[in-house]
Amino acid sequence: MENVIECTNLTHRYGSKLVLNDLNFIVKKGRIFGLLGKNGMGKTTTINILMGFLRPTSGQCMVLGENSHSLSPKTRTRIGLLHEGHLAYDFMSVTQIEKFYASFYPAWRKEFYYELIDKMGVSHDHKLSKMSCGQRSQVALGLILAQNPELMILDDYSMGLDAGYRALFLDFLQAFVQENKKTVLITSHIIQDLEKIIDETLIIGRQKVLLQMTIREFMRTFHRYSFQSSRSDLMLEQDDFIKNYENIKNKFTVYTFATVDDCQKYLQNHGIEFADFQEIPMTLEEAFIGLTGKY
Amino acid sequence: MYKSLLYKEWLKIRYFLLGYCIIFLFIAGYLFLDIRHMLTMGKPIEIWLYIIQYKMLFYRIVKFIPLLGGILMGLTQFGPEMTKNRFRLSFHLPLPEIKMLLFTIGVGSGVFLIINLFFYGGILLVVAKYFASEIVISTAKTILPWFLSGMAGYFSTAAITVEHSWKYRIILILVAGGLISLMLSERGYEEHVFVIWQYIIIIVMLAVTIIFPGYRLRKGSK
Repeated sequence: MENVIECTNLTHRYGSKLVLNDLNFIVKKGRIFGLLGKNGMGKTTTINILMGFLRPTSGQCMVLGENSHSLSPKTRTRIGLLHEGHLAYDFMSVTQIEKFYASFYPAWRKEFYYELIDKMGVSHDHKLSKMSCGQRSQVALGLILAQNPELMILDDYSMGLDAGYRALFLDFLQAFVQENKKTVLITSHIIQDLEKIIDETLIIGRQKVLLQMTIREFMRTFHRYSFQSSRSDLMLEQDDFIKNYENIKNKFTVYTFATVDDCQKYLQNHGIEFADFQEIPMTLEEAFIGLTGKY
Repeated sequence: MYKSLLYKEWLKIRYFLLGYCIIFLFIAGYLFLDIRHMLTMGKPIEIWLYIIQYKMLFYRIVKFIPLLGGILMGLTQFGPEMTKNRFRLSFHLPLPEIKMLLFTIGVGSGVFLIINLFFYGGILLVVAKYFASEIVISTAKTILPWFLSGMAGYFSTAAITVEHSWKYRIILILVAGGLISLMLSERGYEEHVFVIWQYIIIIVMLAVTIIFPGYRLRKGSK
């Protein structure tokens, strides 16, 4: 399968502060790829490099076969960008902005745009500056759908949106992507919404990749176990085996990729007595917090 | 595609242009009434004394209007592009970035130049209504640097607005401020007549200055 995005040895510093350290990932054609990570882990930096607005300290990102830093105008017609905060020319009205963008994109489908606009019941001469954040997000998405690009990069689409607008956004996006076989790279702070839409995820932690795999595989192989221990001072070592743990009043919760048997063996080998050992199912958001930690 | 860019610029500047035209019509009207009042109420010898002897620039009210207009025009055009990182929208359009930037500034300066030519002519017509051709020619030569300062103000404001590093922004403000104050410093008539071409060269240089902050902005370097 063809790689639409290919980042190799991506490293970036802001002055002496290292933000990305040797990041490698690929996004294959036709996939919906979630770039996840807690605040300050380098998501926006990665997106800015992918969009060509930031030159990495070292390494490179290839987007549709071209270096992201010098994308040709022709390649840019194949990429739809949703900027953080649903950035748009808000001095324009609904009709004006559609009219403005239409001539730039040969595959322009204005019916996609107006379908979303009409769903909101907004008049076509409504100024973007007078719209709510939710309404602006639909305008921004509508413009990207009308552009009909091969690759969509959606930076924090959920910012400022209530549950209704988030659902509307994702429903339209999902229908469009499935119907037209598009590739999407998406970031969001609201992980739970992404569970039903993304195929694959890359979770970045402090200067390292925590994991890259399909959502199905992640949710199948990543586990949360809880057990009671009589030792209140018990400290577990976070390593390749134990990804994270919590201890609240002698009730331990462990996050790991190990099976039940392997986890129990691990505890026994480390001389840890336990009782009431059980696996607790997780949502994607809980798994994300389990992997990255609450703090 | 460039027609679309033209459309976007028109949407941004149309209200400013309307406001600028109204202000200039008001200024021209005021100048007309002021001269008429002066000629009606004053004695010929007094007028001669003030205009010729004391070098009183009776059209001084026009002096800072083109500069103010240029600054506001630059802000109207480039302010919305630079707030909230909106320049990213333009830089993702499928056009060569620098060409697009030059097109944008070309549209702005072209429109501003045409309007100022009308105002320049309008002021001279008002003067010609009451004074001899020698004074009209002298007025044309005296107020030309003021209008040139408007163009310089426009190009400088555009470059300063696009510039995202405060260090370079301050340098640009100092350089542009110095050059513009040269164009506006006079104590009498026609004092800049021998340096008009130099001013035009300075304006052309200010016009292309935007390429540098624009390029650095696109490439994400400070």
